[in-house]
Amino acid sequence: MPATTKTNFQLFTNGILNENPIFRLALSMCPAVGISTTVMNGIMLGIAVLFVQVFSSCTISLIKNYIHPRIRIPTYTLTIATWVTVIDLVLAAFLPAAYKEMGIFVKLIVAFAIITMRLEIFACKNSVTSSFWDGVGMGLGFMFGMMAIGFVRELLGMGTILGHDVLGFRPLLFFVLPAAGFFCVGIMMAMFNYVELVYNRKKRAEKR
Amino acid sequence: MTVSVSPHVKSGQSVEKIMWTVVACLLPPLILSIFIFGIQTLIISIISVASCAAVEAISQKLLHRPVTIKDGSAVITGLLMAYVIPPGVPYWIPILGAVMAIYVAKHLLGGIGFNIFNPALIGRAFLMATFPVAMTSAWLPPIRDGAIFRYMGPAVDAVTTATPLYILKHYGPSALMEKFGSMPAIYGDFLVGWRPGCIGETSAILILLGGLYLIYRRYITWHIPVSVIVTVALLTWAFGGKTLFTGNPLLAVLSGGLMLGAFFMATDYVTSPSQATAKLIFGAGVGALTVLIRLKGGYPEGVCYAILLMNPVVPALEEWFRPRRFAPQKGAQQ
Amino acid sequence: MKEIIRITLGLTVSCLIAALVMGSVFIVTDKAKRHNEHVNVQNAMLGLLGYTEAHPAPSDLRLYTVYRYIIEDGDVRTLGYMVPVTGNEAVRYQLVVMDLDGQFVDRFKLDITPEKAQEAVERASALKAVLKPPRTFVYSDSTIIARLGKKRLAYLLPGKFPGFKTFIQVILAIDPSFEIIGLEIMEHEEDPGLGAEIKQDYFKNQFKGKSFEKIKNINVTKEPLPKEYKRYLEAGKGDGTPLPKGVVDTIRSKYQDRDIYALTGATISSKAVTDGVKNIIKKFAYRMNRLDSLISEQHIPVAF
Repeated sequence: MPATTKTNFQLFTNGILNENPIFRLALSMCPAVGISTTVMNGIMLGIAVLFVQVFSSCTISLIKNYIHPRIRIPTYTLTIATWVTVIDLVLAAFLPAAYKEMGIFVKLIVAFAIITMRLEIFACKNSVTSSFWDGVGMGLGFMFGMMAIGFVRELLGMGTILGHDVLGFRPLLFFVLPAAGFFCVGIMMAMFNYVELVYNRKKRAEKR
Repeated sequence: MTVSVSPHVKSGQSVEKIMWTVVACLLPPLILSIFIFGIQTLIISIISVASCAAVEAISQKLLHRPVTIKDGSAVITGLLMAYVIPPGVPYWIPILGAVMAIYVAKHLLGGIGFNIFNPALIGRAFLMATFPVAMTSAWLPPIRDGAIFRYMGPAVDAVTTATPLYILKHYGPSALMEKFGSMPAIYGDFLVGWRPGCIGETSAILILLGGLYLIYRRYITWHIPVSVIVTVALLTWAFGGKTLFTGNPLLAVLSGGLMLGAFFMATDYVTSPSQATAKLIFGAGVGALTVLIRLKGGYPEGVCYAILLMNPVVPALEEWFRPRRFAPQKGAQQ
Repeated sequence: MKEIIRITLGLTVSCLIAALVMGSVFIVTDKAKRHNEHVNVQNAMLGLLGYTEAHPAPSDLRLYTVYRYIIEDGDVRTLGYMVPVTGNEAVRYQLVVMDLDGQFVDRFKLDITPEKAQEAVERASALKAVLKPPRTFVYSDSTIIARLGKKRLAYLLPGKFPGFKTFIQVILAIDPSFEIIGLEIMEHEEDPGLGAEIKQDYFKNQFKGKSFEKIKNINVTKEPLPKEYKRYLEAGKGDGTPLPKGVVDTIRSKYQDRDIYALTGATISSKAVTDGVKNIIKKFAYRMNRLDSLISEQHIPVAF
């Protein structure tokens, strides 16, 4: 892939809609299924991913000319691990209140496919500014996906939104369980694909 | 070998006939359950069947597939799902189960003839996960004086009881005898069906007769039921007691949903293997997992999950035990 | 060959840089991080004793930690308790060794302050100074003893036991007669919405006020949690009108000797917590009684 021709704003929206990490790229499905039980979890993990993605993307695009192509994946992993450790330690030391909520999420990130993939297909070929905006878009797209799944699961599973009781009862406990994560992701992916299908059909009809 | 009824050789006529025969064989336990648990078992079953049929029609319309309610497979799913839920549940529970069973488990995960999991059991597993309270506490004590309208109305909560397997698991055999009388009386009651349990699973004898008729008509073969029951009996005998080889195999076979599972659920054409050896292995797997869940798992009964866990193994079993048609010696016999 | 050297060099350099970055961040943050963790546990403990920010602990509240070690000398196994002792000026630790029947074996002075004793490494080196090889020792557990003025207020027991999925970590507060003051769930991985409800007030507060006699054979019941009891248990949350004082007392005495009401759909998690708490208290009561009688028999001037 040659260096991108997209504007910064396009890169930003690209991560949220066209190439949404969860629903379109189908990357990082483990967290999408595993810990998307509440909207709050989605927001927390989203913020964590956003930071790690942006920092790692910028780092890699800064040093892209010095990375030997044979060892690029180890370098990416190393970069991500370093940033995760640094963020984890800094949070634990200086923002204990935030760490109490986010600590477990930050540690999870090391193994996320989405970050490595963005480094591999984007950051190592593009400028720092583009990589920054791509990282922001991807992070927000991931957060949006997690929140959407979390919204459905929290509402249907516990009858609450962000911990506030909105329904007054718990409709379907099933949605709290891990199996429902697959279920929700599958249904939402289908919806995304359906929208794309309709959109493309419309576009083709217009062309004609 | 008996007549092999794999999905790919179905023709419309025979499928319909088989399916409606299975429905007929399933009806006696339902009729008896009206006298055991009251008239609401009939209502739950009718709601379950009706919603399964409705969901089948709607989802086939939605998915642009031909509507095939008439073949009776949705009716069987509805009946079986009703049979494995407790008799005291609210009436809306089977409707939600039907959506999960037919739309998700049957049509989204493969479609007719290709679904991986037994739809009725997926429905039940979904209900178990979603409404654990209703699904694990709505057991009713059997009616012994013929008052079949007793459990209609709002006072059901007050009379719930525990299933024999639950008592056995958490309080031991002596508590079971205390509650249900002497051992011979327990065997008798369990055989006929007068015990707490799911709607259609209690009457071992009627299920056995229905299953035997299906085997006689060659709609199912003996392999799966026999291997399930023998495995459960053997393993319970070996590991079910306080020391090795002191378990009670007869009680294990008669209690829970084992009979219903062995004859009517594990033998589902689409989700069980079609070769004799594969069937035996499938049945043994179901039996072993059942005993494992019953003795060591968190739930008192494991037939449902055992079958669901063995379902995805079926394609592999089919592959391993595929008749080798082109082999020079063995192929000629087949 | 040149290629391989370049790759090796590249990897080594990037690893070194990463290590440098992580190491320096670690050095900068380590102290603050450990301080925060310590504060976290401390706050949970104070919370269990009923002290919050609005209602802070009195200045004469002291928390002393007793560490228990298992000492092996060949085949002979003894128990070593590191107990804080009031000396001439400051609190110092002593190691009291007893055999498995609770009989006194030996007593050593340890050169370690209570602050330093919080570090496992410091404790090990202090113990090594008095326990010469071939004697070996293994850390077993610790107990925090809260003292208010001259009165022993409570024992705080950090504990860990298997739940439905992984281990559940708790801190349990019990008074000197081994009656439960409170239970706090520190870490767990139970299913959210089901087993995770063990963290909720209406479950964990059920343990409050259970006597030692009751705890010894406590069980879970699958009966639904009565509405009035739930309201009573959640009284600390502050929503809804508070129950009148008389009602609180009647509800407390009514349910004091009941079993623990299991969480709906999470009987196993409920049972795990109940059994875990039961085990912790039973074992602790046995050990504490022995240690106390040994301390008074040997006239050890313990700080707690």
